[in-house]
Amino acid sequence: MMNVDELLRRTAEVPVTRFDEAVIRRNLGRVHTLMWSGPGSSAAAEDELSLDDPLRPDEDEADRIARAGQLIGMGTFTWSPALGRLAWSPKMSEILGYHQGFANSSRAALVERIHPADRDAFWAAVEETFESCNLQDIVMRVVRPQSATRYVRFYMQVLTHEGGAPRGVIATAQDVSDKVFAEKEAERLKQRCETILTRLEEHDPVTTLLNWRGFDNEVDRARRIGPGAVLLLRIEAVGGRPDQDGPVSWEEFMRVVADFLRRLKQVGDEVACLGENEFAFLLCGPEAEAKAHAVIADLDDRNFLAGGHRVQISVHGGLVAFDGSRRDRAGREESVGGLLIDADVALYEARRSGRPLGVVDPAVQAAPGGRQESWRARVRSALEEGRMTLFAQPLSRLHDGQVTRYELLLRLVDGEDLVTPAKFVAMAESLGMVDRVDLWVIKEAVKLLAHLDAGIRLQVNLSARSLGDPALLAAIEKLLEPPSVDASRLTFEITETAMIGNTADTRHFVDRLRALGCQFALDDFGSGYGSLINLKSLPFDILKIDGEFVHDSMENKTSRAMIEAIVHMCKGLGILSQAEFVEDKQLLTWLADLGVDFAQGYAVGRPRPVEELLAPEQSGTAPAEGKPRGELHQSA
Amino acid sequence: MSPDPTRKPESFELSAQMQAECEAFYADNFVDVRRYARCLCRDWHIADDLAHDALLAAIERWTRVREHERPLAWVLKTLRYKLTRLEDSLARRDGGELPDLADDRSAGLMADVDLHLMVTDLMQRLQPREAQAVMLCDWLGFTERQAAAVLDIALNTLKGYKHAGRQKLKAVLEAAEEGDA
Repeated sequence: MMNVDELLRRTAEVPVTRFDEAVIRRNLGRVHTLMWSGPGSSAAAEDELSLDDPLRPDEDEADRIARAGQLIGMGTFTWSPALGRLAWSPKMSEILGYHQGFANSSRAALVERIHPADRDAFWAAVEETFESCNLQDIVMRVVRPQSATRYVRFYMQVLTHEGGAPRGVIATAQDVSDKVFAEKEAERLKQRCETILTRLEEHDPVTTLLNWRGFDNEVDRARRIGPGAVLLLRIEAVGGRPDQDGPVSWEEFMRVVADFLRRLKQVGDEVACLGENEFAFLLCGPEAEAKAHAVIADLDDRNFLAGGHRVQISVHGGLVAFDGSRRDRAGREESVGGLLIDADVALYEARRSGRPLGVVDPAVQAAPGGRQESWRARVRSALEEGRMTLFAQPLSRLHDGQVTRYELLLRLVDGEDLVTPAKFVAMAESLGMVDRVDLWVIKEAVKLLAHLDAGIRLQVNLSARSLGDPALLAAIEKLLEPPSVDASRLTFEITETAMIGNTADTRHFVDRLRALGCQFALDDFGSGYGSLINLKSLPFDILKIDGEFVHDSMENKTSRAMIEAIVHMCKGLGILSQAEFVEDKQLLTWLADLGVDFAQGYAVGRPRPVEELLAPEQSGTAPAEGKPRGELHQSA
Repeated sequence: MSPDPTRKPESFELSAQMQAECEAFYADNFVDVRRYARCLCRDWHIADDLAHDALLAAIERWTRVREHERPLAWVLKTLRYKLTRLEDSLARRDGGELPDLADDRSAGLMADVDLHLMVTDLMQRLQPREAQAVMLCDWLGFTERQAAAVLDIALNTLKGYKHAGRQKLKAVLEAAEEGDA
């Protein structure tokens, strides 16, 4: 075995190689040209360097270190316990914030300038250096006059007598504030990037699984790499939807299922929550179909323990495979939306036929129009057969606890199921049919307003594709012509993402409808890539703070800070603020105290069929209009 | 005081004999200075530039530096100052450090039989001052007191660094031995 001495000795004895000799010759040629044949070195400005011999034998150790520190802009202090003396250099005076000629260097004067929270640790480090003869390398805060705080690095060493016994401590000090601040800034930027890009955008707030957008991105990434499959799952509790009033809440049920699905996920795969009772797996690799069957087998007839109660589930799946060529089997560019539609159709047919898993037949998938035609027919028939329905979710005006607004939420009645808007609208957008869906919603809203109390306003969502559509604009203007309802009772919600790249059309659309009296709300504020300039340039009346910030704001300091800033900004701009995902009373109270104008969420009220707005007495679940805040909470 | 830009370096006036002395000093010490720099700075391009610059600075002041007990000590100290300034300017700019190529290099460690490369890689696993203490004392033949002077640290501190550095090298060699077994 080679020991350290032998290794270093042999290294020192290695001769200069021919390559090294060539480098030396080349460098010396440059030196010759530069120094003796040319105009002199341009790098001759090393005048700060001391020309003294570093190896002078007669120099005192403390003097040598102090002089070296001075040379490179460091302060020094020496402490001699035997003499009870502490002295420092002129540069040290500067670092501590004393004037250059300050002559009363002392332990008290030094410690006085150390931040009170660091003082004990600082002097303990000095004593530790002396007693243990070990060096200390620490960063402490120094508070200069006028409360300027600087970060100073102290490098403390022991000074010894000839025999090795300690005689004192010498410390060099360097102001490293710039470096500390730069590191803090780099850390802040890193944290902010992580927060913005991953947490806010792509996760479902209830399950923390990927949401529709996040899953879309993952599938898009995966299908460019290699083969795989998308497995869409519908997982339901046998006996009906878990409810807040029942032994197990819907959220608990979803979380328990999500936790189980996470355990089924293999390395490289992804799992997502796409909507109510809808989950999806991205299965990578050529054995994706086998994996899908295994997932279904693991879930089939399984019992879960949620909230201390046993819940039996039923599961159905739709599977669609993709290859890595970016093209479908017909040779066309394959879209993620198309894959999800295919998987959904397979799921739909599996449920209808009572099978646990439907697999897209590659031949059908490749046929012109493929299975997407099936979804197009479903959207069309839903419109024609009146199978779309609206739910209304109340918004509480926080300064008095009155419910004065409702957001209308779209559902598609598909057999016994209600398909959630995220999926339905995405499908309709993908098929170019969303303008018809939006117009249907607006027509229904206008009809509803005619029957509701004049103090009630309705908020409806406009999809990204509809925004700026001149045909839709004309249709809405016709709907709102007098003597129709008061247009000021209708508010359109637009998401931040809808405005990207479409500002001129958006502005025209918004201006025309505002001229009629309609209001506009910017939805999901903070979750997209929207610019604050939109708030300045577009006349929004309301800003809806994204639920990602709201739902965990009692536990998350960052979320609270964001909400406070948004509310402050809204007040400055004269915009009303609304908070989504308000799920408990404590949060409701905090938002009210903060000055948020409206709150929406389960703490205010769950979405209910709009028919209950029209006939509250019959339904027994009257909207909370006009009720004081306490009763409102009870009804929620 | 700022330097006079019209003043040429004193070595510009050197006699032919003195120039030859400078060139010999450069040739005799370049490899050692470069090794020292490479052990301190993981970017070899920067390390090589630092080595050349430090030797050039000595040549420019040769009439004084040649009188030193070991001119190499002044060169190594100068190199250390230059590296410190470079690191400080980078840190002030963006909180960053010099490029760290340790991973790339360690990947080739086992395959490379060159002893210098191997020792350089080992040295880079130490704290910079530990590596310098070991190099100065055990590789370049400085006494502990001289090494402390080159590094601008106390003798006791130098001893601590040297001991810690050697202990780490020993542990790495033992681990490599066990891996081979």
